[in-house]
Amino acid sequence: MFTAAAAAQIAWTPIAAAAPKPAPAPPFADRYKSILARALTPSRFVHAALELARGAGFRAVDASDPHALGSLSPGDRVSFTYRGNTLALVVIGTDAARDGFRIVAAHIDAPHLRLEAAAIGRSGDAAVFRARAYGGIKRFHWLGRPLQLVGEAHIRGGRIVPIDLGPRDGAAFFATPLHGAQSLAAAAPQGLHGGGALVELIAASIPAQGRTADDPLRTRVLTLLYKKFQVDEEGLRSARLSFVPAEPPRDVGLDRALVGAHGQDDRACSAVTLLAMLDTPERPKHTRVAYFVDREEIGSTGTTGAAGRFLPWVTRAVLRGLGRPHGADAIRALLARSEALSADVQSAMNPLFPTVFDRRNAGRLGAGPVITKSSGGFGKAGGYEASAEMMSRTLRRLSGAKVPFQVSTFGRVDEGGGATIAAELAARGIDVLDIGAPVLSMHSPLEIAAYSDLTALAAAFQAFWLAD
Amino acid sequence: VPPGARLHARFRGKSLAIVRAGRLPPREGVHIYIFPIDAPHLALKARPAYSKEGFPLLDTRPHGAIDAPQWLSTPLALHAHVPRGERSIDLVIGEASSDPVLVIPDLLLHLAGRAQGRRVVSSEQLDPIFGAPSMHVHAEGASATESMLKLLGARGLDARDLVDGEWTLVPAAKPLLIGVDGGLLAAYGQSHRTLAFVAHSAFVSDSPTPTHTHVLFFLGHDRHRFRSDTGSFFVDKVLGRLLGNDPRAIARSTAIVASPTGGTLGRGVVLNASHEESAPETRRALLDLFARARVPFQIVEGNAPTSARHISSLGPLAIDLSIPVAGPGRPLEVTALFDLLSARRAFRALFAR
Repeated sequence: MFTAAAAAQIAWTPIAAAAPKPAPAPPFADRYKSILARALTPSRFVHAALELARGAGFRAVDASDPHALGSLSPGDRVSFTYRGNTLALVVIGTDAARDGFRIVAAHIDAPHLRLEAAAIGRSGDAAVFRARAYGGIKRFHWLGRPLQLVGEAHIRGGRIVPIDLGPRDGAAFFATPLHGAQSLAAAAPQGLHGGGALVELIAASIPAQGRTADDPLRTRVLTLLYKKFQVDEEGLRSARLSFVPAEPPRDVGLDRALVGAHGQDDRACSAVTLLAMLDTPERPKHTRVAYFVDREEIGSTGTTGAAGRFLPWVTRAVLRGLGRPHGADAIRALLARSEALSADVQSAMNPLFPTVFDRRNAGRLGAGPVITKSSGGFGKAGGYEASAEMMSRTLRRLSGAKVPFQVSTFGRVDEGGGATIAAELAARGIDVLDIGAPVLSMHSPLEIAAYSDLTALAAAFQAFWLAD
Repeated sequence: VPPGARLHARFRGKSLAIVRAGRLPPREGVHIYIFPIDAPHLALKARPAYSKEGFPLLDTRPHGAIDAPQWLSTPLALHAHVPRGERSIDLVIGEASSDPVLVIPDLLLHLAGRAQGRRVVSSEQLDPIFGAPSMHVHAEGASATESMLKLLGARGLDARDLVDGEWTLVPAAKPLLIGVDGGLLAAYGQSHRTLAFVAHSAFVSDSPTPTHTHVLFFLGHDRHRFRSDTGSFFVDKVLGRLLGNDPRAIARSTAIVASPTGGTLGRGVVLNASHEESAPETRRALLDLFARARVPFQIVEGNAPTSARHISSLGPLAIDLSIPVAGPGRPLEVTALFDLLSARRAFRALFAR
């Protein structure tokens, strides 16, 4: 179903037309990069998305409060959040949701290093922050690369203190050992993966002056954190703090056709879903939903993951707002009539490691959004398989809207695999299909996507939302 | 040359010697300092542009010992120097924050178990993509080289310039302070250049005329290959001019070679005690000087060959002096500010000799 001609139309400007100096980045690229630069964590994504949604006329509601929402009518725009880490933007259709929802769902978490509750330790001549992987990482990627600290601490009295510490404040963090020339890839205690192992990031290396009862280096770290954020060691125990790459998103390639950034799995699809939602002004026939979830990289569990209560609550609130029955059966019935695109990035052919890909069926960067009928590895284990009917409807809608796309598999059958939130959505009775931007270097601190795929993905979402 | 005079000599745009004349004439011996100033990087091969699986790529080979996996999935800048008779075309893409960068894409974790289980990546594989896979270009039959030259713009470059120019890829990263106290510095190329910078800035600052003449060499010779035109030839030539052919002058001279030989960050400058060239009398003299000037130092038994042996074969007793560097050969190498300040104190004391 891959249409090279259509992809070329959207993806490629003739190189001969390239200006002597690299052309200024197009507006889409700037908007996209600015969302990624702000959305360093799930809660920062929700925060940024809410701000943009408010500007586009979305009313903000807490999903856990059944009385927060008054009555709804077609055309109404509502944003639902829960615990600041999951979000649904809903636009009520003229069918008053009788045909179910049209949901585009993406996850807003990404692999990174998470600060431990016992945050500060000692290693050799330095005080270190103790961190562990969140999601699947290659350990050596995160050593020897500047990281910034971002998140929030919940301090005594229930106050939440946002924490940002990075190069702009004159401090980056590094997990490099202070001695030894050994390769970091070889030094990783558990080989390539080793994600579960503790990572120690240098927090301070100049001993504090004067006499202190405690370790002077630990004292220095705590003093500086207290001075800047009024957070003490007790506050760090109840914090959600992440170390993420300090490098901002960058254009990649002499043609600026690609974008490199951390967290594009899956904030590429999240940002595109958000932009597509904000850029679709039409009053829809169908009720459209942009659904953003946390915790996909660690199994979709918890209050803000795709397996949580949030989506049924949103459904209940919408039914109630429309003055319809909103009991458990009504919620199930509405979701069973719904369709969803599970928007997650897909592996793209890497020219340096071609042997792990199935050349005929691999996703290609720049060839349009990737549709995956079945995911998982080793006999589709842990994955999901979409229905032929959902495939057929979706491909027809995209072709009708002249959106380029490609149908691909994750990699060679026995080399590994991956899964998405599709199965979690299907467990609600929703008809689901996986679609997403192809990316290179997935799960690395610098993932690469093609702008042409991202704009085509936005067009695909709009086609899905607006189709009859 | 009057006492206190400052002189310099350049060679082939790559190497520099700066001299401070002492109160005593050079025949009483000079103090020589050797600073290599090249850094590990990726150099483009002569026919670098190729396409594979639709991607345009640049074929590279490493210059110096690099920690290959660390060059994956990290932003790289392209620097080119193309001679054009008396002039040259010089090109930098990726250093400004608004510039695009080049990246060598790593394999995703999900499919890496077998493919990278034994070795993550070979140095031969370290080829960045320089654009999106371009079906349009391939339909038109343009080669990867033509695409590259077109994307570089109307600078009048052609395929021959890829053969005879110097095309290098270095990390597109600014120096950063590390930790809440900024006690460490992460930057590209620190193995050699950091000490060269510290010594240079101490040397050019105001100070009383020293007893002996001091000569600092900053050498852009190929890494680990002192014997070259911009290395040994240049040093020999400058020393010949200063010392003539007087064996006594050479015998009275000393040399310090700035080669990293290990050590622990944050514990001061590093003296290498392992080589035959590290004669006990040289070591004693430096240890006495460091004690007087209160320079924090550490002694290591480094075993990698450095340029010290080559300098010694020119005559003067040579010893390796350095600061500890964590992660040599990685895109970002790390040093401790404490060691930089120790080195500054050491060089101030040395330059007063």
